[in-house]
Amino acid sequence: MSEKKQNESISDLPDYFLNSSVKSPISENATQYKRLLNRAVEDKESLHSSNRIVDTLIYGMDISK
Amino acid sequence: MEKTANSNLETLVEDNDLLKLTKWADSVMESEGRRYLEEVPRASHLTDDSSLDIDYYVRHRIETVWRIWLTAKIDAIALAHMVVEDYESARQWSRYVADELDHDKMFLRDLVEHGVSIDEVRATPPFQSTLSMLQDIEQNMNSLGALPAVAYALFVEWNAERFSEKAVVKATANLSNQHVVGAKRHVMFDLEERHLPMILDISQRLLSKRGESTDTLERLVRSIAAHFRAYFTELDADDSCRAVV
Repeated sequence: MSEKKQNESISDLPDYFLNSSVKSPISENATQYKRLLNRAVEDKESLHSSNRIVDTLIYGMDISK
Repeated sequence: MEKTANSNLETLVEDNDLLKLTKWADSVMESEGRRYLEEVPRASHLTDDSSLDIDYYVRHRIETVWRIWLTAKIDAIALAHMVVEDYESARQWSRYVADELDHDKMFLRDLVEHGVSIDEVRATPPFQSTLSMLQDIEQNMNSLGALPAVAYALFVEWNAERFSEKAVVKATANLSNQHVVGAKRHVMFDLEERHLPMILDISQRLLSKRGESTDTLERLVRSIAAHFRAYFTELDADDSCRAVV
């Protein structure tokens, strides 16, 4: 396994992966899968940096668990 | 290489589902938040810029302790369900609820500053809205497993992440640092532990394992929101705290 391959980012995945015999959850629909992945890559940063996607309420309940 | 790449891809697909669930939760919770602000008297009292009603605050803290005590039971029942439904979720949940068992100590410590002992907390009956909520959650667990308890955790952690710090700031300004040592520690603990993402992750896993849609989770969350609206309405009308303190 080359270092280049190891460092390959998800968004750079070549088509050969999608066309390989490896079964993925949606391997039957590679185009939809790739579109989903691209969106996931775009959203990944916002997901991991904060879960406050929207935060419009100024006041609210102080409830603790 | 293919196995590693496939694993990474699956992680991303799961992350994408988690992102969707996070956005879904924000949407449902914000609509409930607006309804809370519209329907409940003095809804934002603990977090807004008005002068703090100390009796209201102390009674709320007593109920906070009661809620921690009472939800410890549903958390334990949820763990038993979760061990069967999704073992990986049970690992996370067990650590979470073990921490939560001790959180009463933080608020009890602050109540002592107000002259309220643990015996006085025990002698103060919880509100009917709190008891009804716990009864509903426990009943729903008979048919839905761990999910109702997780929905409760989602509701509470979502609100706590946004508003508990504001409540501590307001209480500090109106009382003193000594009166909020426990509450402040609790806020810091929740922020450091990042409970909400973990609860969302468990929610997603349980929905998937049980073959349930977010409609089920939404029904549970909105039901819990209704119970909290009832609680804050009861709290606003209550005058028992003046007899306790």
